[in-house]
Amino acid sequence: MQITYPLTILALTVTGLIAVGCGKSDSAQSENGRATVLTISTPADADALIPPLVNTTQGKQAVDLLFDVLAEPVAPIETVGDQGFKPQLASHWSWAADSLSIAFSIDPRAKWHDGKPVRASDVRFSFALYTDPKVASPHASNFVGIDSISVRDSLTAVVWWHARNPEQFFQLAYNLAIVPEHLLGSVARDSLAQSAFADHPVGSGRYRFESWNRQHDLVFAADSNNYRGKPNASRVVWIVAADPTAASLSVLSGQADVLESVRGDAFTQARKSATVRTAEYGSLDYAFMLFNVERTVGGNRKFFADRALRVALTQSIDRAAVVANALDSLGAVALGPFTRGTATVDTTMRQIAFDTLAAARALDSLGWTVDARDGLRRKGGRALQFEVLVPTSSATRLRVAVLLQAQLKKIGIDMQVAPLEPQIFGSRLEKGDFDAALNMWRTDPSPTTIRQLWGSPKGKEIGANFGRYANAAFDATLDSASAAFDPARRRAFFRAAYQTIVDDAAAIWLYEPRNFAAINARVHPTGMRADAWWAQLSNWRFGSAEPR
Amino acid sequence: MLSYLVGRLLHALAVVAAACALSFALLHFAPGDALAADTTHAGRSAEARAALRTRLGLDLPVGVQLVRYAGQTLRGDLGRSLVDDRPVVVALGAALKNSVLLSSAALAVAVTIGLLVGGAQGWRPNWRLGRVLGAALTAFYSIPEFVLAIGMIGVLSYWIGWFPIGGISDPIKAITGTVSEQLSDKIWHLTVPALTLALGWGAAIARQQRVALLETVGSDYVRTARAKGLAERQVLLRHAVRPAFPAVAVTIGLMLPVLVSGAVVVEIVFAWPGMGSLMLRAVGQRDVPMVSGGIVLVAAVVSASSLCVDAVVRWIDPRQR
Repeated sequence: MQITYPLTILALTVTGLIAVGCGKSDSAQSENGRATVLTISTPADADALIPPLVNTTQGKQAVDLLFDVLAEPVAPIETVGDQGFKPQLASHWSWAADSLSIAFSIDPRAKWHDGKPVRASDVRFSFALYTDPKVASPHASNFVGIDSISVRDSLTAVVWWHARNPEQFFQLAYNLAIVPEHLLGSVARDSLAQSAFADHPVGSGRYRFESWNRQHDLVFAADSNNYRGKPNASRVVWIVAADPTAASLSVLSGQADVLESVRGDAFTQARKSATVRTAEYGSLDYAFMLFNVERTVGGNRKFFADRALRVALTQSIDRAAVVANALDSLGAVALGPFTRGTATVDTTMRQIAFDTLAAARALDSLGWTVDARDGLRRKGGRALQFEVLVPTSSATRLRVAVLLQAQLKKIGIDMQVAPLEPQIFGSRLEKGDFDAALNMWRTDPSPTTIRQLWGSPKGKEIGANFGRYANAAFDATLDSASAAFDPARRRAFFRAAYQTIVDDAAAIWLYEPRNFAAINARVHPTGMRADAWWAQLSNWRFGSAEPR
Repeated sequence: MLSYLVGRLLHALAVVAAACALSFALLHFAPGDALAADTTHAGRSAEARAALRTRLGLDLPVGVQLVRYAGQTLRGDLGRSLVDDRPVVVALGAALKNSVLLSSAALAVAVTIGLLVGGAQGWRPNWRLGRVLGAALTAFYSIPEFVLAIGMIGVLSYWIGWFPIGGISDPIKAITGTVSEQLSDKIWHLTVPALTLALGWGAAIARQQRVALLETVGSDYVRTARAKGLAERQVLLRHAVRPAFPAVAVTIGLMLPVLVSGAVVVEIVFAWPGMGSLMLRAVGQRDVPMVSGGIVLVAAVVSASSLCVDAVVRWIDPRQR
């Protein structure tokens, strides 16, 4: 039959393609040099490779390997003084007697990847870049306490502060990545992202830039002659895999070495796999139900400004059950506006307990009584109902919202869930156009940054305090905590501040996720910090798979 | 014919302009923008965001922005991304190259499969293998694309391990490999995503080919051709397939826009950085210049491909003239 001829060609073509595939698979695994290439599967591409412009975790991962800071924090991060830091670009430093300035001595061996030496003037230039309004750096606010940086000699940069504060060293050393003045000095500040440097950055870190195929891969190569020593991985490759199933399969199949977060079935498979290990690292994320205290809800002005109501809502929620249902063992009940990875954490703090009887009594006393017709609580004919916004990008928060809705319903509260596309979610939060929202926040290692979310608004400047929460006692205690130089006193003040806000039921503290990375068994990770699991990536070792 | 083509060309230009204006306006009226506050971690202060909005001209009235954008576009400048400040033309160019590669490979396989299987079914309706292949293609066609994509990865890349799970190439080989290694690496990466797309598209083409061929096979002129003693191959190719082709060409023409607009689901699942994934991300990020630029490009190609298909059909089939 004539038809069979072209069908035979088709069959041969398919067989040929399969043969190409078989051959490739084998050869790819056996290539020399691949054993020390570290391939990271990442859900999104880096947004930028110039440190002052970076605003995403993926971008931060990349620039942290490419650029150096003056001093490097050691885990767990201590943000007071310089005790928690070890030298990086600065070989040593000395404090002025009044603590208003610190002189940093640049390591004379440090070189940019183009061979030019790193100079103190680069430090001054980097500061100027971060703080220039034309750059619009998302990190500029980290340097508000710094007055200026001067150059004493080619290898000594002196940083001057307006006033001494316990975290002045941390604010500078943790946040200021040093960039080369000789390559960026002539670039217009408002068009840094359009410069040649943006596509081919030059740093002084232990990895140098090799290639960037946007939205697909980013490759760094080991800087063999780096002043801090040659890193263990010969190359670090980020491969963008937006689909979580494909990303987890790539690690399980050995095509990628690291997936920074595995959940659900992928976690179970990774635990069972002989070729993949799971490594837990601390979390600085916490999720909470945010109340908009300025909002008029159902005709009730400043509805959520009533502490008694907020406490009753918190008492109505069995947070342990919610976390167990939504996250299984991959989450823990949040303790407050901080996580167990925060340096000033206190896990013994008093919490508002789950107590539906107490909640019912409180709501009754507030005039919200149960209507026998439908079981809803009403006051003056109006039902106790509000809307909670949830971003559709978070499957966990969508699950949590449904669980919260069911629990509140039992006590007669009608919570409407409004799933929103993330940009709309953000926009409505910023405008204050919401009753309540399920939000998540990644804290900074500095406990003082709690002020951004929970410090009382100053006029129209709300920072990230989208719910417009205000508590003078909390502000005052936080001021004391921020100003304390003695670690023990500081910890006590923070504990008091945390207790104040938890007792005040500023939000319903829901959960903090537990972070598990899936890592190929031949890779031996080290120093995975809560704020940056990749911080010690240069020191990750390669070898045979150890018993798990 | 010339006046017809000129008329269609003017129509296509109007469609592109309307699509551009509509997408620009819709995105501006949607809540949120590219510089909305980040609700998950500390980012730019409100002042820094306001300054950036002024710099990017986002604080101007929508009408002014649209006029300014239209002027730029007419000069061939599609602007810069609001998210990473890259020229839109550069970003679209890189994504377009990848989408065209994936979709054209998929289309080539789909047309081959579709014409052969559909042709076999139409020419010999009772042939068992043809019916089995047709049923298999229909099954693939009915499976949602994301399920099929994950299934293909699961079987071919994870369990059997013949192909990579995603991406367009091996980044290391792209740096260190020889040209032939890079080429074979590209084919290796292209195979599964292209096959995933081709199975669905091939089914559509096969069904169209089968129906069209069944019609022509039963016609008087085919019977006459046979009666004249022509060989079966000649009857098939000259008298059955050619009259059946316009209908199939229309089906293929409907698939042409995907060459540039990208296959969103397959691109996302296979981490293929094409137009589909770029546009989806840009819409989510409210990157107005990127979305508008993409729509201008896609609308232009859709209009052009529609024009080409109509011209081809008129050329093949005298009844259309």
